[in-house]
Amino acid sequence: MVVWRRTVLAGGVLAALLLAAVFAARPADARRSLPTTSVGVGAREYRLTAYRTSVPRGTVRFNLANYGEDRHDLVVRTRGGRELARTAEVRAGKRATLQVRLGPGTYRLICDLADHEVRGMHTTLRVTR
Amino acid sequence: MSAVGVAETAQSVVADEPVAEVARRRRTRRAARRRHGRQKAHRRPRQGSVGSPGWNEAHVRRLFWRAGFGATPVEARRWAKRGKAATLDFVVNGPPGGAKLRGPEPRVDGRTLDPLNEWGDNVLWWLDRMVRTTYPLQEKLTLFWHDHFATSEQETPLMLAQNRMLRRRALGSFRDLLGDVTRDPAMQLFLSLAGSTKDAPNENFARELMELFTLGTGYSERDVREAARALTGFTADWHDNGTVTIQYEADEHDDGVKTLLGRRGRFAINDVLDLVTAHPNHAPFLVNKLWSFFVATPPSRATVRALAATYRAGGLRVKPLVRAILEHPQLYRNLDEPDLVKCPVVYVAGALRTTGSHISQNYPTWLLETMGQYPFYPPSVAGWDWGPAWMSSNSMRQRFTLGNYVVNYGRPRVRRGSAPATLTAQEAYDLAWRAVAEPQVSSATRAALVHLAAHFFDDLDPDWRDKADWRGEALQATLRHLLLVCPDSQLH
Amino acid sequence: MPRSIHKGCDDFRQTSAGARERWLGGGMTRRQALMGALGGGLTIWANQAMPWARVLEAASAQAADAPAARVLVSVFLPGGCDLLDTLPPIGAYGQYADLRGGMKLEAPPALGATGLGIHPSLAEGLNGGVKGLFEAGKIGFMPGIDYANPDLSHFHSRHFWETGLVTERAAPGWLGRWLDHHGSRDNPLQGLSLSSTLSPVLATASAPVAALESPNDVGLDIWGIGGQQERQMRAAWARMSGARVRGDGPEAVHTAAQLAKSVGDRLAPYAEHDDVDPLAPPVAYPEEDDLGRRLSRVAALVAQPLGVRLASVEANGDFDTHDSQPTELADSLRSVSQSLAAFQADLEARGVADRVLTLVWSEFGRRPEGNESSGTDHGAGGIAWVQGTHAASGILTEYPSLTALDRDDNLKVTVDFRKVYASLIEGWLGTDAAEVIPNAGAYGRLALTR
Repeated sequence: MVVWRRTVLAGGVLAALLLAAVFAARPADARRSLPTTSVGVGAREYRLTAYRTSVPRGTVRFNLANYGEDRHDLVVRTRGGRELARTAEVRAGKRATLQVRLGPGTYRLICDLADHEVRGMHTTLRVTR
Repeated sequence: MSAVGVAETAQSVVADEPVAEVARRRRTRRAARRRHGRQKAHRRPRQGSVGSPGWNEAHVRRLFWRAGFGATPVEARRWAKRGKAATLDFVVNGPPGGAKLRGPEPRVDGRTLDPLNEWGDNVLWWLDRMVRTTYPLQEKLTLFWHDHFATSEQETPLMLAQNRMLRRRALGSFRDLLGDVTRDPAMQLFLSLAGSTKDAPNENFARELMELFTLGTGYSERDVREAARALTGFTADWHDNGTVTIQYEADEHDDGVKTLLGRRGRFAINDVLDLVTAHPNHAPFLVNKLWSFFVATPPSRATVRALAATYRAGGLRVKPLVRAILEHPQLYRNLDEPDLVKCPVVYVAGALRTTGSHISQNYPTWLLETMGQYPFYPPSVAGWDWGPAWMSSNSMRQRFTLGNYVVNYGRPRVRRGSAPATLTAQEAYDLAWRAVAEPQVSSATRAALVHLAAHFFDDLDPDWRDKADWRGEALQATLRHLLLVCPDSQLH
Repeated sequence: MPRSIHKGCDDFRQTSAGARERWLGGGMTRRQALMGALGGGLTIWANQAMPWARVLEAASAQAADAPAARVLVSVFLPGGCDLLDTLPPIGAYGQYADLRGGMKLEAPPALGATGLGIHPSLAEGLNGGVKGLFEAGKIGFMPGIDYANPDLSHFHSRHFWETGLVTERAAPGWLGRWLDHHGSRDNPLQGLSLSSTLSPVLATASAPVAALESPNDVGLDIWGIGGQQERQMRAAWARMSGARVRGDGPEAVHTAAQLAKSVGDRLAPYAEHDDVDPLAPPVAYPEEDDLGRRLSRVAALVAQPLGVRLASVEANGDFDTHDSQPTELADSLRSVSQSLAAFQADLEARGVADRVLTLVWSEFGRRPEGNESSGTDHGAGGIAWVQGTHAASGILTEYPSLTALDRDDNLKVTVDFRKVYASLIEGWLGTDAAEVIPNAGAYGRLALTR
């Protein structure tokens, strides 16, 4: 019986605090409502793969890992070929992160070292609404 | 204020009561608990007092550590009472209805784990399974198979898929497991089975299949070559999302006659796998490997024969063999002197699980790497080196460091006001020992820590001792840390 | 026939179908996978209150190893360093220019009367950098170093150089094997790897070794505990780890626990605290240069009575210059030159230079002909050198011909690296090379020291 009452107390207070929090935070929250989505990217000779083929609009965090022997990088381009963001060159076995805000559309991910793109290091990412 | 008085007041609270009033009531309740706690501390807990000489808490702890990631004190007492057979049933078969993950999903850096896309989350995801699963033996064997069929440096989607397959097959038919492993994309890429064609057969997988996965000895170079021929024809098909499908192309397969392990025929993959598992060396090979995973001292020849017979009689199913090992008296020798070194994964997962702590940060990833066992990255197809090989001054220092994280962020963290400096040395030790799930330690360790507790306040003016709760809390943190990381806790 | 740009790495990919994964597989049985002790870690802790006199007493009591014992330092340049641009053959400049076209070095400084030049970046640093060290008689270059039928994979080649074995099997490092024979059972500081995980060169089967990035970020530390309480805590640790135990596992655990503490105790006086760095170098190293920082630690620790015998350091630069070699190599070699020059000056200032010899090496050379990206692909016949006051000076091996290439159009190998290892073990460390290098007798010897 004692325990039950304590639980009621906890629930009541908690609800109050939550309500207060919601009221206080709403305007700011609306501004930050776009999610950040992570996309793992694997690079090796001569293939570039993104572990998600589509993500919601917002910030996309690319986590690039180089599984190959050569150096590679990751470049994000619009479908038309305009470069939006790029990582530095990443040595074999190393990693790099790239964060970029993307609106809805299709984007091209490539490695732009030497002739890697032509040899297969490219893939597409769809960003949905 | 008495405990009853607190409850009565609680009844009349409404949702918008001032926060200060709530806080005051919380403080009073805490004070009441503290007094109660001090009274409890005087009763020194006796470990191993539940059960019978043939099966008591010590047996349960030994079994739970070897077959999983340790036992909580509650579990140790409960299963000591239920007896050996019931405990073994529970451990080996798992709960009815299959394995579940108890408790909330972990959140790290304010988000749920994304093992596919975030570095390190794959390791945390697996570690979390070890901490929260209701079927620890299944996770433990998944770890065993990951080491046995060691695959490394393959892309995350492939390693996660392999991990799920190993878990599914962990306790079933070894032949089925072997078939799935041979067709597994990560394994095929790692050992160049994908792309091995009749014109250019690759011997890598064939060799490791016999040397490392099934036989150890008893095959020739010719057998390797012939097996390689029989295994040709697989190719890898990459998909946009990083997954891979293994295809079989009959016209890349060498369909000629092969002579393998004394038999002749137009062998293909299933024939190869049937032949290696039917080979007389297979059963003792696997028996020895599994035994050394669970038991620190080698089995006698008679034991190997008996276990091999069990394994064969069970149709090469893993579960009966594992059960026989987990029942074997040799596993329960020297109950008060644990002799098997905990591998880094078991050490970290066990510390979290037994203390009721959770994955909430990413420190386990780099700690496991510097301890020498980073999951999904074994050093070679031969897997890791176990036992004493885990130990070095470097890895020991890293294991020492884990204590900081568990004591500061896990369940054993010291609550304000819970450990006044006026506790006796023995009381302080007992409080700490209970807070870290009553680990098994030697009397020498106990004596050293009680001695530490006794002298921890030597530099304090005695008149100030009862105002020095902060020092008492520091002692608790130190004792809990040392109990978690001491040499005794590196063994199980 | 047009060559694809990264032919070297292509070769690797093709040979690897069998070779690489075969190697990764290793065909190893558990027993043979002797990676052994992962290596010790230096446990350094800042202890403000310990009286210096007592500590130094303890430290020198611990330094049982002969204080004048010789030290060998391994400096690895990762990626495969190009011989032709490191020591451009100005005596055959025309041929060099033909091979390298637009990416050739225009007017490399001459290296004395050797007929060779040196990369301009190697003249940078204290006292003329690496070039200055050569002119002072402290460097012996070894062009054309490699092994027969070189494997052009970074992975494989590096493994061979690290283990001193041209084999696909896992094995301890060649210097680790030396410690297994001649090292102590209880001094992890005898082999220092300046990195967070142990360099494979120093991986041993049984002897303890240490991996350390910096003296300050390792230790038997409990957060929030310091001063007298910390001392008491460590004393408790010593008591717990000193207990008598039976069995391989328990013994290994207790030994490791004792070593972790003893190493911490021995390095305590040298830990950085209150902005005071007891290991601060007496000379200026290049700023914000990892190689320089690591070498300064080596020099400082060698100069203390700690029993350091071997050290392994990896340069940060990338020598795998498939493209933009002129700029990439210039940057990488600049760091090497400045750091090594400071290192030598540091050792001399500390008065220990006479007992330290440094071997600088890379895992293979590069193709003589440049590629279409102003770079070079993996090749054979690379460059290594020994450095020190007792190093044999000059050009110690035959510079490969630029016209008589091997059948893959690579530079011919003129000295096997195992010959160099065997010579160092016998000539500098003074022990039998056959203990470490199988078939050591077959390689002959070079005089690498004087």
